Amino acid sequence: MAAQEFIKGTIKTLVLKLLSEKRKMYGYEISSKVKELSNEEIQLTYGALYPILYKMESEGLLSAESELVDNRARKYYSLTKKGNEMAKVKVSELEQFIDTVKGILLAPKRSFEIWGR
Amino acid sequence: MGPLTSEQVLELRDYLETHGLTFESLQEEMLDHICSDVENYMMKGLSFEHAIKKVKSEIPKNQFKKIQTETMEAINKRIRPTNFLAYTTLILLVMATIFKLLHWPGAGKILIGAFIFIAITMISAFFTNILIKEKERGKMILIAFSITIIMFLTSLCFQLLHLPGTIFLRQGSVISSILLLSGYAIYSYFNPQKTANHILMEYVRKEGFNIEKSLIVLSIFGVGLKLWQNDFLYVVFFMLVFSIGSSFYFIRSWQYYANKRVRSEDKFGLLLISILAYTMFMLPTIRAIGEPTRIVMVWSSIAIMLLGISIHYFKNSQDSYRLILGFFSLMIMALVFLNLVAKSNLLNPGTTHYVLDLVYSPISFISLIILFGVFFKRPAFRAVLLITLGMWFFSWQMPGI
Repeated sequence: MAAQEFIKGTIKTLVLKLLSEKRKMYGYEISSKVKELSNEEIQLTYGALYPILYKMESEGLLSAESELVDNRARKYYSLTKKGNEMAKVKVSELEQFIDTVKGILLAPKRSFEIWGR
Repeated sequence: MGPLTSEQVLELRDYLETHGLTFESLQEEMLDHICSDVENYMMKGLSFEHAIKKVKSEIPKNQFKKIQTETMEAINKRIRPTNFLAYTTLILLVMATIFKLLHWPGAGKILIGAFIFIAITMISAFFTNILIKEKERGKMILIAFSITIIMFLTSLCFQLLHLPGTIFLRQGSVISSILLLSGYAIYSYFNPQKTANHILMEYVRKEGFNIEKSLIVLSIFGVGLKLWQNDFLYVVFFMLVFSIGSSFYFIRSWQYYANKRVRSEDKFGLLLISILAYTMFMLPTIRAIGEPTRIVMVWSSIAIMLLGISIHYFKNSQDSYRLILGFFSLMIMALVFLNLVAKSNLLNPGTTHYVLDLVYSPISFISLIILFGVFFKRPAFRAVLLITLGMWFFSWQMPGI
């Protein structure tokens, strides 16, 4: 469950990444995809996902379209041109960040090795 | 296990609504999410009731209100330039009102400035929407409608400046808005799927709350000007409220055509009633239509809308208090009809006077306010009550209107 704690700042990037691989997705689909790909480690709650989707839409990163499915409206999101560019930037930024964190986490171990422990 | 039935979807929608999720487009989206969740559990073998229970138990308390607030904040942060323009407009309106009340010169000019800012605000909001969403459909109608709004505001400015051409501009904008919006209503009735994503509908869905807020602010200015100083200026304020308000509510009604919960005969009824009411409400702003026809038209329009919405409500609502509200609605309708009869010069002057005293008594005003409060969460009722309240104040102590 520790994953929930770390995920906060990266949801936007995950959404961008998922949408850059699939043309359009709806909210529930995004959250179940994240759950599936993370082996159920990461569960995007409604509260975390939707405000971000709206924010990204209003920033012009996503465009939305409604379709009627099974007695209800379903809102599909897709990346705009700006969103596509942002996806590349954000994903590489996140990768870099993960590397940086790894560097920090591995640092003590390395120093212990130096001391011959 | 297939998809949920429309009754089951309705049950979940009510659940969201009673838990404070009122912002329409977010509500639709959360509804889809929750339905998918429930369907997922049902696929694993749970019954509908158990699945619902399970889904509900996973939702923290006050979650929906929180999401709604966060979403609103996320959206509102964006339209900074539009917000700035809106506040400037408000400041200009306050200044114009103060100048007018204190008899300082220049109130008219400030007001014209405010109108120009209203036009700029609306157009900036329209175009930020167009620019942000590259793929959105329905840009042409938005541009056409913007031109109509500019024409209407220009006619108000010309009227304040006593320039020639007022009548031409007014007629042009009113007739073109009637044709444009009625045509578009018919189009969305027949192609609900196509228009559901149109930018104008999207705009009305998103900015609805802000538009209604500005309408209330404008009416308060109108009422203030009328109470303190029975000046012509308040007419201009109310004109703005009525034209923006009725167009806004007309456009917002189109979303029902894409709604599967609404029966097809109700949709047809809505189409007929809304076009008729909008035309009858807007046409009298043209001076070519004389008294008392114009008054009868305006009040009939309100009566038609009230009647239509009340009938629809009684046919479909399951509210436990609908009988009490039915009584109040009937009273309001009676008031509107009495007003209509009194002002169409059908009665002798004595009776007319008596009827008008009754219509414009504090009791009827309080009933209107009570109804408005109780029906606040029902968008259709709220719309027609807001317009009725506006008309009540506008025509109060005005022999002609």
